[in-house]
Amino acid sequence: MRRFSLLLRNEFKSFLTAPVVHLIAILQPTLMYILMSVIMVVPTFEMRIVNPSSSLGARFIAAVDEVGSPIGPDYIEPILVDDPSPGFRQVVEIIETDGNSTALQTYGYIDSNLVKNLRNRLTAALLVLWNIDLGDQGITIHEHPWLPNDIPYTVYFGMAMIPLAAYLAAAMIGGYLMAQEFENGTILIYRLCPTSYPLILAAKLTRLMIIAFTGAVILYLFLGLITGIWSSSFIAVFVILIPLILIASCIGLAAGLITHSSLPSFLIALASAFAFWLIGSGFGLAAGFSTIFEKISRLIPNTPIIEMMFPYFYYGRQVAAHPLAANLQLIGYTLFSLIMLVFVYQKRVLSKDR
Amino acid sequence: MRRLWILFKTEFNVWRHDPITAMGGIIPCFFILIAFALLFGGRLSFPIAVINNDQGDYGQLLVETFPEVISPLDNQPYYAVLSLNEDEAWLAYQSYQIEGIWIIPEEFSERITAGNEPSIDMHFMNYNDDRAKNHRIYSSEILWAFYHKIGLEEPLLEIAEEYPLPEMVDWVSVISIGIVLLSVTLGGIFNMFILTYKAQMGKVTLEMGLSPRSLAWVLVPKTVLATLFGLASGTVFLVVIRFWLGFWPGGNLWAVWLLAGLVGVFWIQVALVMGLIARNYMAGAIGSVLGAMIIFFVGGGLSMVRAHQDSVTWIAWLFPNTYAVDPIRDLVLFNTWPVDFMPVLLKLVGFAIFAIFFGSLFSVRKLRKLD
Repeated sequence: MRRFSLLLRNEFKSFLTAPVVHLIAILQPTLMYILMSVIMVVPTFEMRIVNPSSSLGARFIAAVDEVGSPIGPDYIEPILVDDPSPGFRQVVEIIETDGNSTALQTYGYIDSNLVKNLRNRLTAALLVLWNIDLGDQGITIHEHPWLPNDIPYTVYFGMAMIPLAAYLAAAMIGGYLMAQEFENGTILIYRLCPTSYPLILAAKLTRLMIIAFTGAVILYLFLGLITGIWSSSFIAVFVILIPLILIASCIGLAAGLITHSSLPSFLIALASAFAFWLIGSGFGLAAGFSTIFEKISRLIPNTPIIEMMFPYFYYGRQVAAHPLAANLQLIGYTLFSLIMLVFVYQKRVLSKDR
Repeated sequence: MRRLWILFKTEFNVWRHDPITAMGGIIPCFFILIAFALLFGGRLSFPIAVINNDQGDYGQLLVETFPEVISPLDNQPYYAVLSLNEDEAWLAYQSYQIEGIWIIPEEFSERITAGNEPSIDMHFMNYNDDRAKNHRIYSSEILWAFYHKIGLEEPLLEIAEEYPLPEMVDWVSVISIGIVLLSVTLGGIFNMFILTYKAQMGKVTLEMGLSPRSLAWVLVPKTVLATLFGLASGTVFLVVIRFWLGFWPGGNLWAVWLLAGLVGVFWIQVALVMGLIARNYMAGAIGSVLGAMIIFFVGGGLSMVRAHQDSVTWIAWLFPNTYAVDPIRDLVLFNTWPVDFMPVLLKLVGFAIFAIFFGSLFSVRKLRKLD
C-alpha cells in the first residue's frame, strides 16, 4: 500500500509538468457549457409581425400572446414591424385575398427546422383564434405533462456534459502524459523498474479518476448555479461515472502508448470524447431520435451513463429501457478496456522486442 | 523566391512524416458530421400511442389525421402513431419508449356533433422544455388539419407561406457548412502545430532565431502550407457534402476558399503564437484546438447567425468564423452571391491582418529570444 501511495504521489507530481494542459482539460467542458447555455434553444421565439391595422389583426396579436406553456414560458415573442420584407428570418403579414383574411408568413434563407418552428407557432396562434370563434365546438386538449414543470433544456444539456467533462479530462491527460513519457525518454524507467506493472497502472488510473471527478464536479456546480437544479444525490451521480472514467483513462493511456506522440494522442482523446458525447445522448435521450440513431447511441457508454443519472435530476423518473443490460454493458466495456490497456502496456513497454 | 521554395519543400517534407496528425482537420470534423447526421438526419417524428375510446367516427378520423400532417423538418409526419394496446402504451410511456399518449374519450364524437366542449387528454414528455413545446405546437397542427377534415366552419385567418427558394434547406446541411469551416480551421491549426512542433523537437528554433535573414522566410512557408492543408481539409468536406447532401458552390468555389482561407489564416496565427510562445507547446495546441471547437458551437456552427443574431454571444463576434459562416452557406447551399460579401470580406481581411501582425510580432520575439 505504501508503494502504491508513493506511486500515486509521483503521478500527482506530473501535474507540475503540464499544469496548463490539466487546467484546459478540466475546465474546457465547463467553459463550453457556460457559453452554450447562453445560446441553447429556448421555447420562446421571436416572430416578426407586420403591425396590423384591423381589429382582426389586433385579435391575432392577442392570440399570439396565448401560445405558451401553462407551466413554463411563452412560445412567441411578437416583434411588431412596419416592413413586410422577411430579411434574413421571417415576417407574418395579414393580407386580404378575395374577401378572405390570411396570415402570410414569408421566410428568408432559413433552414427547415426554423421553418417548422415558425410554422407551428403561427398555426398554434391561429388555432387559438379559431377556437375562440368556435366556442363550445372547439376541441380542448387537456395536458398531462410527465413532470410537474417543463424543465429547461440547459439542465439536460449540462447533465449530459458531465460525462463529457469526466471523459475528456481522463482521456486527454492520460494520453498526453503517457505520450510524454516516450517523448521525454522516461519510459525507460517504467521498463526497468522492479514494481509490478498492475500497481503502476492502478496508480495512473486512480490519478486520472480524481482528475476526471474534478472536471465533472466543476461542471456539476456550474450546472446547478446556472439552472438552480441540483441532483437528488450527489454521490450517486459520481459513482455512476466511474465506469466511463475507467474506459476513458484506458483509451487515453492506450493512445499514448500506441502513438508515442502527444499530438495524435490528444487527437484521439478529443475525437472520441466529442463523438461519444454527441452520439451518446448528448443532445437528448437516445429514444427521442431516429431508430438508427438510438441503436448506435446505445453502443456508446455515455448513453447508459446518462440514463442512469437521469432519475437523480428528474424527480426519480426512470428512462433506462433495460437497466440490468445497461449495467452489464458498462461492466463489459470497462473490463475490456482494462484488459486492452494491460495488453498494450505489455506490448509497448515491457516487451523484450522493444 | 528559390529560397522560399526550398523552405516550403522542407516544411512539406516535415509534414509528410506525420500524416496522421495532418488529419486533425478531418477526423474530429468527420465524427461531428456523422454525429449530427445521425441526430438530425433521420426520421424525427415523435413516437406516440393513441388510445381511441370513442364510440363514434371522429376518433378514428383523428387517428387518421396524424400521418397526414407533415413536418417540414424531415418531410415526415410530426407524430408516428404506434399500434400498442393500452397496457403496452403506458408501459412504453413510463420507460420513455414513446413520447406521449393521446386518449380520445368515449363521448368524443357525440360532443363534436352536439358542439358540447369536446376534449382530448394528452400525456407527454416534458423533461426538456423544448420537446414539451413541440408537443403543444404539434398538437395545434393536428387539430388544425382535423378541423378542416371534419368541415368545421372556416377559420378567421387562413395560413399561407412564401419561400425564397423552391426547395428548403435542411438543418443537417446548415450544420455541415459549419463543419466545413471548422475543418478549415482545425486543419490549419493542426498543420501549423505539427510544423512548429517538429521545429521544436528538432531543436532548429535556435537556428531560426540566429538566422541573419528575416524570419518571414521561416514563417511564410509554414503559414502558406498550413493554410493550404486547412483548405484541403475543408474541400474534402465540401466534396463529401456534394455527394451526400447534393450541395456544391460550383463557380463560386474560389469565394468559399477565399472566405474560409482568411478564417484559417487567423487561426493559424493563433496556433503559431500558442505553439511558440506557450511554455508548454501542447498546452497551446490543446487550448487553440478546443477554442476553435467552442467557437464552432457558439459562432454559428449549428444554425444560421443571421436568423439568430440576438442569441449570438459577444465572445463569438470576436472571432472571424461567426462572420464567415453564413456567406459560405449562401455560396454552397443557396448558390447565391452573399449580399454582405464585401463587408464580410473586409472584416475577415482585417482579422487576418491583425492576426498576422501580432502573430509575427510575438513569434519573432520568441524565436529571437527577445522576451
